[in-house]
Amino acid sequence: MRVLAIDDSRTIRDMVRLTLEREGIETTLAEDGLHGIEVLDGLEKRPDAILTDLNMPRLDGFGFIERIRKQEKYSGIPILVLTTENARELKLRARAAGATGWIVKPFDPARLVGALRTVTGLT
Amino acid sequence: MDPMDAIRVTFFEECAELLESLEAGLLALHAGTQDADTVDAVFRAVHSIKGGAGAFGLKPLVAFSHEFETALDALRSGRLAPDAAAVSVFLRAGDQLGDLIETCRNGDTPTVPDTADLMGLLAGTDDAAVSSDPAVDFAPVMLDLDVAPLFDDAFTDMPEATGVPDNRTWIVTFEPLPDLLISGNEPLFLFRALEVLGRIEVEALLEGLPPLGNMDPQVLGLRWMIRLIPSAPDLTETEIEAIFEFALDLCVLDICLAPAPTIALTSAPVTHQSVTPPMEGLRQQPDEPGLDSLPDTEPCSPRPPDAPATPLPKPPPMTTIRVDLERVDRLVNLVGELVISQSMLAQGMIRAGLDQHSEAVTNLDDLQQLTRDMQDSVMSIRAQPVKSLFQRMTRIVREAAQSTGKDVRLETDGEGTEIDKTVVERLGDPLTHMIRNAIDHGLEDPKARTAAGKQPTGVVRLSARQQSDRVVIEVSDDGRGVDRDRVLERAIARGLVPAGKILDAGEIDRLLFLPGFSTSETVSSLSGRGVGMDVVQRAIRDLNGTIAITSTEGLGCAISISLPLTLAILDGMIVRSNCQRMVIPLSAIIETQTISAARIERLGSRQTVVQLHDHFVPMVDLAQGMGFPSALRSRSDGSADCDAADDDDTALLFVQSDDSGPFAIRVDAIEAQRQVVIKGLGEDFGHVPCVSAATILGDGHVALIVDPAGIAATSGLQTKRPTPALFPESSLQ
Repeated sequence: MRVLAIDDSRTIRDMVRLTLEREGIETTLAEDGLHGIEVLDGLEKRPDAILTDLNMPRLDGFGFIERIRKQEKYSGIPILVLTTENARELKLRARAAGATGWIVKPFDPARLVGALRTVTGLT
Repeated sequence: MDPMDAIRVTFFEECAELLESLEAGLLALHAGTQDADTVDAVFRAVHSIKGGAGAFGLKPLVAFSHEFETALDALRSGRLAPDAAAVSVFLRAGDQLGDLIETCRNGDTPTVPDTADLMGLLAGTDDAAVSSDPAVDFAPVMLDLDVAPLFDDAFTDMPEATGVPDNRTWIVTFEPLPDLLISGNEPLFLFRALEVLGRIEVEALLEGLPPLGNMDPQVLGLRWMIRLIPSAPDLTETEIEAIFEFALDLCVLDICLAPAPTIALTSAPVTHQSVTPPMEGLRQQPDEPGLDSLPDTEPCSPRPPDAPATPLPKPPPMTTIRVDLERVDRLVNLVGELVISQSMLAQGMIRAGLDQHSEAVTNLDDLQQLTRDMQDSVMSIRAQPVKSLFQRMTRIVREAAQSTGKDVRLETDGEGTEIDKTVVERLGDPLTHMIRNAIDHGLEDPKARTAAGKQPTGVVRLSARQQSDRVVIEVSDDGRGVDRDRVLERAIARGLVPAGKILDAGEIDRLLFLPGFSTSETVSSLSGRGVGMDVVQRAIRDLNGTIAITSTEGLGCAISISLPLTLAILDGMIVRSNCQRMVIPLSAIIETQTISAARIERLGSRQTVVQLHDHFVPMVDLAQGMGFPSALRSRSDGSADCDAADDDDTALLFVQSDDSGPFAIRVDAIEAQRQVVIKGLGEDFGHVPCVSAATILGDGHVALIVDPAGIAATSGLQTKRPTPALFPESSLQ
């Protein structure tokens, strides 16, 4: 499985990478929404799922999801929001933008991986 | 290192960066900036610290940053104005956050700082009710994953269906809209998630399926009916709907209780807005319109809904990479080796008798130029603006002003000046002390200032500028200046200076650099912490820097530090003394002279002096000062270079060390002025007096780099110091 994870916190990026790579998930990282788009556009194979933070500089998670959903070549990629937020209004906004699911940080490694496996149908 | 430990290190590094940007942002707000980006950056800094802290289970840090974030959110959303009072509270909270992080980093158990001030800011806003509740819905518990309802418990084993009566059976009809697949939702996954709630029977309804020729791969064309027999008897409609939370906009969903043991499809499926979404206790308006009615106007960016929908400007691409410092240092070292081996090559070519204008020599010149450029480029990788350092000082000023009750304004200049990273790091403590001193001893209290015809607010100025290959950092104040009469009086009283000795103004000012020197009537809690200006001076000298003080009575005092741009290269004078070649740092040299031996005067049996302009200054023979054994001093290794110097001429370098006045170092010959690559002596040697480091010269020989201050000390030229044990700081009061 290939996952693109976007978070402006180096700590969280490192943790996500450690968590996913331990499970054999190929992980690509990006530092904010715009960087995420750049990285995504540069990938040889599109990822099976995307994890994104919401609050990021330059382009936040909502904007990132919106832009991805507008591009046909990325249609159908599950996008999970990974955030410390848990407010319903934000969830509604993420959903309107096209998010697939919502995971609250701090995350339990097994469940993060489990969620990715479920939305992608991959192991 | 355990990967988690490495991430922990990363976390604290990141915290330091975030604190810096927090402070920078708050200071910008303090200066009157109101722009949304700054507020966003400030908010995000605290938000990221909270996020990382949660990952490491640092509960007090999470708790405090959460409160801080809540208050900043009010600022971000415009519910709170960034007035001076609010920004001061935030600045203080930033300091507290920094302390808290430091405590966590040290592995100590922190206590959560008082957040009354932060909460006080929210008193007049809508947040008051929410934020005053400490049990906000954020559970900073490691491994206590709060997956949204969509995933909640989706991965636990399927519970056994219990023997619930049939009339508890739920019927869910689910009709995906065309966009469902595009947004990454997968009906199968939703059904699996439903399975967690109980046993399900799924039936696909095929009547909407188009003929094969009209099929669109992105459109499902299917409906499903799911019969859910809950494992818990009190399952609610809301819990079922929560499974579909992210698909609600993308489907027609109907959830109802089966009225009878037989399954009946509901006649009129309804869209989700007919059911009440779970409120989760947060700030949703009860009369919020259904989302379906607002598909195009629902704001999708964090900007407030009334902000004009301007397209995002195309930002510059990411232009930085993060590189391990070790790799940079390896490169710095390699380039150093390259410089050395190249100058060896150059000397070899000269020895081989190659013509100055030969092609080989010309090419080598080009290579030399390239190497120098390369060296500059590599050094610039390690260079950092002093901005972060200066920013840290704003806190020191705030604290010092507060504890002395003085009104102080910090002015900074030249924050973009770059200097080696290590220098930036090691300047923190000396600068802190200098600034505390300036506020504690230099600045008068507001009353005295007004009486002296000055503005009641004192000014401390921190500036940096590059001067050829050095950086000059200056701390100045507009206070009372050094009270020279008192300084001299005390120095005499302490036995630092013989009574009756006439010292010029500069000499008196330099007395401040003596260990334990204190002119304060009482050792205050602020600057009297057991370190004096002597410690500052030593720290600066360790960085190959020099320190100087200038003061004007009644107008203020300035202490300036001159530092090399890099710690890897030194401008030095290569000298020869008793068959040894050594390097004397150029920064210490005031003047060089070649004089006839007759101009050396004897003072008593041991001391010699020479004239420097209008003064006589002590003279030290370098080899003697370094303590070379006489056997070595008289030995000749047979090389032609090592002949004794002409008896009639003596080469002198006049140097100025921080501890002493100027003095002369006698050498046999002054060879050349060179940039040398500094090589440490290696850990085996420990501290060698008079030697600061070593270098490898162009001919491959090792040369020691001389520490002039060490020479002054071992030759007894230093101004006499009291034994610290006899004059503990408290006894100077």
